[in-house]
Amino acid sequence: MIAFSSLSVGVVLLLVLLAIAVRSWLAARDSADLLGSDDEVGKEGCPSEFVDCIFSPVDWRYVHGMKSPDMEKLFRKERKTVALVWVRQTSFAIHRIMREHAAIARQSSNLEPATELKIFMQFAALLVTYGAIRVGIDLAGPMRIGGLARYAHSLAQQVARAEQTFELAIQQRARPVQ
Amino acid sequence: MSVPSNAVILQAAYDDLLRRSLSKISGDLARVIYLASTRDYNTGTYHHDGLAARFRADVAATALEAAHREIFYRIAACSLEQLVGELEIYLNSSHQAREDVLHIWQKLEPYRLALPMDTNAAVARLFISNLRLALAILQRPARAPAGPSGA
Repeated sequence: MIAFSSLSVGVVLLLVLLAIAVRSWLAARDSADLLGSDDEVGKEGCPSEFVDCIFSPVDWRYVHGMKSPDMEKLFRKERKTVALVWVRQTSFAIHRIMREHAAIARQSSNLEPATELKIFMQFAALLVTYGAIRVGIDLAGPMRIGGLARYAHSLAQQVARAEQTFELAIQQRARPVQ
Repeated sequence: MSVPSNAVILQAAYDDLLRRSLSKISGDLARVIYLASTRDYNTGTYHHDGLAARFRADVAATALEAAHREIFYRIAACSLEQLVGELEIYLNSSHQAREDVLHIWQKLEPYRLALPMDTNAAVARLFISNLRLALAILQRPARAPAGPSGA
């Protein structure tokens, strides 16, 4: 009996997770039309102050104060779309940095395994964080995961800077000594 | 006598634009709409006869583009409550009937043309989304005063 209950709970949880994953994928697909290609993402990414705006609870409190369920619904829908555009834009940028890093690493003859492992772990942490943000946007709404979004944004900036430093170091090592 | 550098001429054109044209327009939203209207739909080049006559056409275009970008990013970073205020200012300064403007803006979304070139996709989407919300807020029948903003 207990085994059957556990199995039932397990199946229900699995179905819920599957439903969340499908909803997130559909929502992300809806926002995809706003970003056509890597070129449209731009090199610079979204400025930090706008990350604060997208995930700020201030606008939500303003709309909530109107006591209008329709306005609240519209706000949640609109802000969720904007947040997903940001997630998609940043994920594109991370993937591009990963591709660029892989291209440079393939050409380099003096890679340091410890540095490569560290960079790989940073990329993995970033991708997991952005996956969590995507689920968080769907489940709780952007205004409730501002802290996580700001953390992810600063982490992405750190990775981008580290990658620039890595590129410079590789170029300097490759330069012939005069 | 030394010849002023391009940066100095550009700054002078920019200041001239702010002083003579933009200072006479109420609100940043109206300024962004005005600046976007000085851009050619086909070429994306900005034109302002008065500014071009005082400086050069290319300097005027660069100053207009810089002002457009700066004011756009300022208004895109506004809170929703501030944007509703900006939209109110715009509607009040418009010579058309308020309800007509609200209706047309909701239907045609002409503010999409107010985006500067190469605007960050998330910022552009935030601006459009916030304007949609601001329009919906102003369109609400018998609007009750909004609660504390928490701002």
